[in-house]
Amino acid sequence: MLEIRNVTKTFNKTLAVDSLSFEVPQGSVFGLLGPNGAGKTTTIRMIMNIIQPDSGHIFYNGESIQRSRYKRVGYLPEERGLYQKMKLKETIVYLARLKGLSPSDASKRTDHFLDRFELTDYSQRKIEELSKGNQQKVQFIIAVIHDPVLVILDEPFSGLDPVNQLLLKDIITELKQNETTVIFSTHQMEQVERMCNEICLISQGKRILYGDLAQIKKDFGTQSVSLEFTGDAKELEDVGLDDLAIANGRLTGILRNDDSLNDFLRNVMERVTVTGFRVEEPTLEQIFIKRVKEV
Amino acid sequence: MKNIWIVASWEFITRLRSKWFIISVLIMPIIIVASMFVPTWIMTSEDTESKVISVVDETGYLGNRLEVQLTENAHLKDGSPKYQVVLFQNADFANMKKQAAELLDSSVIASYLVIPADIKDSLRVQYYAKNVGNFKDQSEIANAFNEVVSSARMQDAGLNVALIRSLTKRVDFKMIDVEKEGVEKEGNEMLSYLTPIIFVLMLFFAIFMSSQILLRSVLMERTNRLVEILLSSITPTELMSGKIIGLGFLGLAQLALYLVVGYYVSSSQGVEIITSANMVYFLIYFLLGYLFYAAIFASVGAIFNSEQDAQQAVSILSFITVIPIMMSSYVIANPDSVVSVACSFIPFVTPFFMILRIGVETPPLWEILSTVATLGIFTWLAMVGAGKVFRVAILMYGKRPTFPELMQWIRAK
Repeated sequence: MLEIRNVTKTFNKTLAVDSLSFEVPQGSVFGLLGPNGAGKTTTIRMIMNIIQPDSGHIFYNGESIQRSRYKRVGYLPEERGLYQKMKLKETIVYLARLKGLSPSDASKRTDHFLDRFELTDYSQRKIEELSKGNQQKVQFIIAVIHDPVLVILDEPFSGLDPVNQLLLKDIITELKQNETTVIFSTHQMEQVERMCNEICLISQGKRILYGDLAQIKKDFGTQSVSLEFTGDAKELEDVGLDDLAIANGRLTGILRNDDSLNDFLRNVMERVTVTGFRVEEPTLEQIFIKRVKEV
Repeated sequence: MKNIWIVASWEFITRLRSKWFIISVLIMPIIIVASMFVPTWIMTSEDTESKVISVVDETGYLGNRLEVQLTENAHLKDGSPKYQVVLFQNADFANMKKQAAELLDSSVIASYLVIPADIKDSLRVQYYAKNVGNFKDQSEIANAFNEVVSSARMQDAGLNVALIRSLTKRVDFKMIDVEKEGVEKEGNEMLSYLTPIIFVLMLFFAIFMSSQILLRSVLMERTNRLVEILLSSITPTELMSGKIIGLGFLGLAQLALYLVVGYYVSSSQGVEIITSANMVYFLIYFLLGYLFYAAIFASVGAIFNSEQDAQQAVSILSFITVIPIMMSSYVIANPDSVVSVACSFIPFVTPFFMILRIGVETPPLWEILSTVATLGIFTWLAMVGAGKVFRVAILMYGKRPTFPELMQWIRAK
């Protein structure tokens, strides 16, 4: 388990991360979310031990993060670069060796992953000859080649076609099955909803949402209402919903916090004939936008 | 430690393999060797074809003597006379000149000389050629004609020409370079002037090619964010040390190649400019000089965001390091002067001044030891400072740190 405890980091008087705490259970896929400039990258770099927090601690399985330990960490940074002039295979082998693999082991694993990602034909080509999507696959290989216990993926899907996105998802699922912890940082909320069990949303360096995704949705409290009806639409203009939209015999909106669903339904049925009714839990995107705006 | 070697061997091998490195490393000694030998070779090479020249002679007899003089003294490789002289004598002076000019114009002759009747008083002749830049022919003909005229004037004055010639024979200066321990060897003035310059150029290229590669390598990893992946595996200090060591070996390989080539080329010419003592000094001053500049270049690479800005920042260093090359003539002439010795203690230029001076004659041991010690201390300080700057700057993007900020990082513990 990875524990972030009360971590603070300041750069030139700018507070990048402000007493942040969260825990990532072993073998989970954890979403670290936040708007641009929220402090995600700084947090990730502190987890990677690239930079040190000003105060607070980061523990992995109860021990503070150390050099020896992060040989078992894999990292796919958001901004990607590789040695453009170097050959594909030797680059991967070099970076794998820096993670502590022996030359022969690094070479063997490189061959395996190149095969898996259908890049074997390119192994002796220069990286600059690869397409952007293929370069991204190479970066992903570099993040997972050394069999890490913790993988941090920053926007892993951006720029990949659906086929390769699927391939990546398969591998992330495999990692999860092998008890590898995956920290997943992205803006694409549908991806998070599909893959993560737990999330931490930060904004301006502070934690504003944290925990089990299903619980967060429940706790968010708002319910989206979708209703089909026949009758005079004008009758419904003052039913008391947020984000109210009425068109073509269909009404959508968000129930205000204290209002009861039953009262709302009764109220509506007095005015029009209801032909269909559905209550939806909020999407993560809605929660994200609402909570970030609130801060 | 293991990581440092992985980085070092990666940097060394991938650079050594690159075409541009090989080309630039090979071209350097070729240029140096060429600049050494080609001019002398061209100057001393003998012509293989004889040339036809004309002499328009108003005196009626000096032309014949010049012809004899040239035939006796200017030879081709096979021993036959170099010049064939077409004499114009005993005719209308203006007409003869016109004919000679026509011959030159139609390239039948290479040049012509006009000897006026009053030559012995005026001491003035005119030499016409299509290519007046041919100094070798010109000086040969001029020398020959001077002999002829001065002999004629001596005769007119009633002097014994042969006696005077033998009395005024020039003294032959044989240059002997006295090395330490009283060993004498025949010197070649050109070579003893060139040796220090070749030495300093070799050192200059070995230090700066590697430092420049270091700068670009750091900058490249920084701008394409590869450094994030690298630093998720190893520490900044390991990364910097590995790069500096790997590229140091690259510079060493380059220097070794130059020394070996220099050794064989010079010994094939029968001179010994590269000795084992020189090699030791080269090694010491290269290592210290390289580490000093590598520290600076690595920090510059870590601070700047674009190659252009970084190159501008290091161009000021290039100005400083060109000073020893510009001052080389002075240092070669005055290796022990106060200025030469004082400059040897400025860490930025210590290696270059010392190698220049070693190329002339080995300075006293205390100077070698004290310059090495001084440079060593500054190199150590530069490395420590660079380590701190590198650690902080390597992950900073956007705004470039100001000088006070840099100083603050260096002072931080």
